[in-house]
Amino acid sequence: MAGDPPQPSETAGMDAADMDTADTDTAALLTAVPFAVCVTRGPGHVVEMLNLAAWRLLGHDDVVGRPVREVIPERLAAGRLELLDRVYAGGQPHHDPEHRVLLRDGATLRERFFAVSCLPRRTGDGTIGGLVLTGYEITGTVRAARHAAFLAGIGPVLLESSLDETDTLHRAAELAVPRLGELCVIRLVTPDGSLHRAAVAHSEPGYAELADALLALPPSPGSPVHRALATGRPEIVSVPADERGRALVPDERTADLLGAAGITATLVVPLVAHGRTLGVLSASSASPGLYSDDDVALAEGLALRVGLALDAAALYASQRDARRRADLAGTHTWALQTVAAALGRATNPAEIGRAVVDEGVGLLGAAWGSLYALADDELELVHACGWAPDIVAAYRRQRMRPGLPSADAVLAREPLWLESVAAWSQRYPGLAERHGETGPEALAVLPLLVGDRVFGSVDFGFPRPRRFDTDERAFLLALANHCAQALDRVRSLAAEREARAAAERQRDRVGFLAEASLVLERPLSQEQRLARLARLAVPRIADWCAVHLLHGDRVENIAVAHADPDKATFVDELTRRYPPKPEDDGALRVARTGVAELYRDVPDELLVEAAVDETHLALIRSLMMRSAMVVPLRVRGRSVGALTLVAAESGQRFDDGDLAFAQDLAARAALALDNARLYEEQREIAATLQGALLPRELPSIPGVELAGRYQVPGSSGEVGGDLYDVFATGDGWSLLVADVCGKGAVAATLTALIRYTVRAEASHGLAPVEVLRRLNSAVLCQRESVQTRFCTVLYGRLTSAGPGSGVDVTLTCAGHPPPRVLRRDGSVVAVRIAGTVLGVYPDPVLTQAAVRLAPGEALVLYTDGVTEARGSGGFYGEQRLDALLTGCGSGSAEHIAGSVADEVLRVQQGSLHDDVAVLVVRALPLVDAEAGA
Amino acid sequence: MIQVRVDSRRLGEAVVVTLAGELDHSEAAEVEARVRAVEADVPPVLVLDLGELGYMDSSGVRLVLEADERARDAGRRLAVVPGAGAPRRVLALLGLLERLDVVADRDEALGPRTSPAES
Repeated sequence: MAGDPPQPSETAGMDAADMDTADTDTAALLTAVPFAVCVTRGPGHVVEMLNLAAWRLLGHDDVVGRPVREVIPERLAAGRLELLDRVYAGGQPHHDPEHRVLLRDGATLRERFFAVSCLPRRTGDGTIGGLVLTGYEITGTVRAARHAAFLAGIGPVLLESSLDETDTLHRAAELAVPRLGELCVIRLVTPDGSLHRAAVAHSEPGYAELADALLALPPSPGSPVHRALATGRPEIVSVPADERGRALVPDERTADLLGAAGITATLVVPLVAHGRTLGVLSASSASPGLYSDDDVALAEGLALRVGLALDAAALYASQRDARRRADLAGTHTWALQTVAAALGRATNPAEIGRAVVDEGVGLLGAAWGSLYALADDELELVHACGWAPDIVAAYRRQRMRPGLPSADAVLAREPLWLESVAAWSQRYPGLAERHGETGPEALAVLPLLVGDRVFGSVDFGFPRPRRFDTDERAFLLALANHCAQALDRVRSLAAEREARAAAERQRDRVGFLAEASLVLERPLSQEQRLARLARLAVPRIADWCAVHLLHGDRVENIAVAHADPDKATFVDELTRRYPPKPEDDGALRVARTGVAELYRDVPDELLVEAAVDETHLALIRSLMMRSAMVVPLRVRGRSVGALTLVAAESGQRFDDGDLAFAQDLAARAALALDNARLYEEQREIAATLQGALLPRELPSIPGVELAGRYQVPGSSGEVGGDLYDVFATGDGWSLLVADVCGKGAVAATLTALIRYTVRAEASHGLAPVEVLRRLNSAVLCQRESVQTRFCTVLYGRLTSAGPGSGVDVTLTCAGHPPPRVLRRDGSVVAVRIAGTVLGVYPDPVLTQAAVRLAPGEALVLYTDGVTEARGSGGFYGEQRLDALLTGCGSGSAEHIAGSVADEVLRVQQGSLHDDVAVLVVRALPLVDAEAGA
Repeated sequence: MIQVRVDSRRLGEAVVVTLAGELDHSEAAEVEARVRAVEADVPPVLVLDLGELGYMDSSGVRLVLEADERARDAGRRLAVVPGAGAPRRVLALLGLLERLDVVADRDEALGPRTSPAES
């Protein structure tokens, strides 16, 4: 046939007149098939015949008898005509399972996909006479597959990141390019309602300028971004080719940039989490055919995950901060103990210098440190660490004159905080010049004070600028206080024998402080710790000890201690009968002002003045008070209460040294209390994070009653790894219970991944086993960055026709404990469904089972925290669970869930070892529903 | 308090690691270190005998799965003896009995691999 002239009349498509029966059948078949078929002849590929589907694709009539090159748009010819030539010449069929073409649809070009084949037609003698071209459109399948793969890939990428907001947003923006366009901008709503640029990603560097210009536009209520924010719905702006960018923006320059970049459309989707709009994601595209409904759904899928990841990131950041502060407070307590222990052994100033400076430098991460002792109007270097020999030589002795940091701190009796080189050069221009290059960037200089006596100074230098925050200042002051007391002690040691006795007492107090620290670190309530501290203080430090905490404008007496418990009870009663007047209440005054008070003597006149009547006077006289001191309990620079120490029977008289010691004790007590509070705060934040992973409330489903319980071990302060969820899916509802191996933030990441992946996949209308298979892929994707984490999952699809009609559930199970069905007759049936745990193998075995609940029957889903609970009677196990459920009879879902949760707690004597999640689904009988309505 | 006992012995070309007592997250790291120490000697066959464990939680499962993955990476055989108690129950629930190289006892693991088919 090759070379024959075209014969339009014979090949006018489906005219059957000149064809035999077989050809008639073929023609009918070709018309009916849903794919495009085109038959060509000769090396010029003259169209001989084409069916309806092919004709529709070409879109014009005048086709038969003309060469292919004339009937297809020039745009599509490149490469494809050569392909036809190659098949014609070589005789090798060509198949492309996913062939991409841009086809015109009205004014725009659309991306479509076909499975195409090009086959040679052979004549009787085996030579090639023409080609058969077929094309089967698979655009829907390809888009759906890309869509699913894209969404499945997002969860792991967003959640595996360090749970850091900036990081998460940058990843999200990068994910959007190029799938959703050439330029993606994420903006977040700030607390004042304005928008701030959070992340920008683009496919080419040229788009950076455009991004800057778009972000610099003044806010306008009519802009797509603000419309999306206001409505919470996606906005699309298409730009007709002739108007280019001017439809998008009023600003000329930005419009020119848009035009130059070839942007044809912009899509804006709001970022929403827990019903709150956090910001917007906008994508701009230069590709034709973008922003179909599919693209919008995809962008919404991305935005949903970004919103949730942001939510998790915010909670995680606050938890991390609380943990950091708690750790820091813990480190400070430990550091003070270490230094106190070393100081307790020191017998001369050089040893004190080593203990404070060398230990302090190590504990603080400082690079320089020195201790100066004051002697005869001169500061003398006792010990230095880190300073160059020439500096040490130059500053070995300093006259007590203003102008140098150590002398200034000692003269002013105030610490000096130089936080940066700028602070240095402002205050000490000469010094900054002399060793600005090699010296410290930040410096803390603390005078060594005991009462009103000054012993010298200690300083620490840091290689980087440093903000000395409240915590660190308090720590450094406590360190200086220890050092001053130690210096005082060794000076006393060197003095008279009498002073030596006092010093011994001081040394004993260092031991006492160590003991006090232990008491304060016990895992008890604040009140219990303070009570123990008070008991520990008598009679070693004083004969009486009382602790008060400030509540508004009052103080509450937390503890009173005396070596004789009867006397403590006596004082309790005394203060109840004769509450002190506010103006006479030393504890209240000190707690309020934060200024310590010392009564070296308690003269009788003072008692007479304070007494209300004769009886009162007699009673307070009987206490035999000789000397007293009241010191504030300060936390983070704020006074929260007071510690009162009274000397009586012992005849002891408190002096400045005793007062300094009492202040040190109070500082430790306050630090320990604060420490405990921070850990408490961290536990609360963990609970909040947990809450974000659980449904806030279960949906209400007609004819179905739902109840859920979730419990974590109370003491751990960690996020658990169990999860339950119920949500709407198409024409029904989805149930989910899962258990992640492990605890803490890493487990929470996987828990979040499970919840969001299942929610996303369930919405595609997939079968339950397919949802879990996709979840398995997502969990495996995440494994790269985290050590082996597997999870067991129970997932089901529920339908109900309303009250009294029962409930149908299709369940699938991945290694999860079998759910139970509580029948109307009280019997319990375990629903055993074989399935492999997820996150381990790429091909888990998963099956599904159908469960029907008649009205009044219940389905109980739970995690292994229930059956694996261990009490004195061994494992709780399935049998005891079944017996308990039978006992619940026809109780409500709330009753059943509550009974299981309470029982698990009871079996373990109130202290859980593992998380427990319970979800109960009960089919409502008609009567219950009516009663409820 | 030590709840779990770990015993390893060489039998022919195999090393049998026997765990007894109770294995939970508080001791999993210790046991893993022992298993890794045995693996460092590159035995061609490693048998994990869990038959004497009275309790095993998810950290035990993780230990087995990670040992299995390392064995596959190293081209080593890892045979698991789940016994009849808690470990078998846990592995069965998780659908892992079909996935792991599970043997009835250590003799089955030590015999020639083709023996069941031949006999």
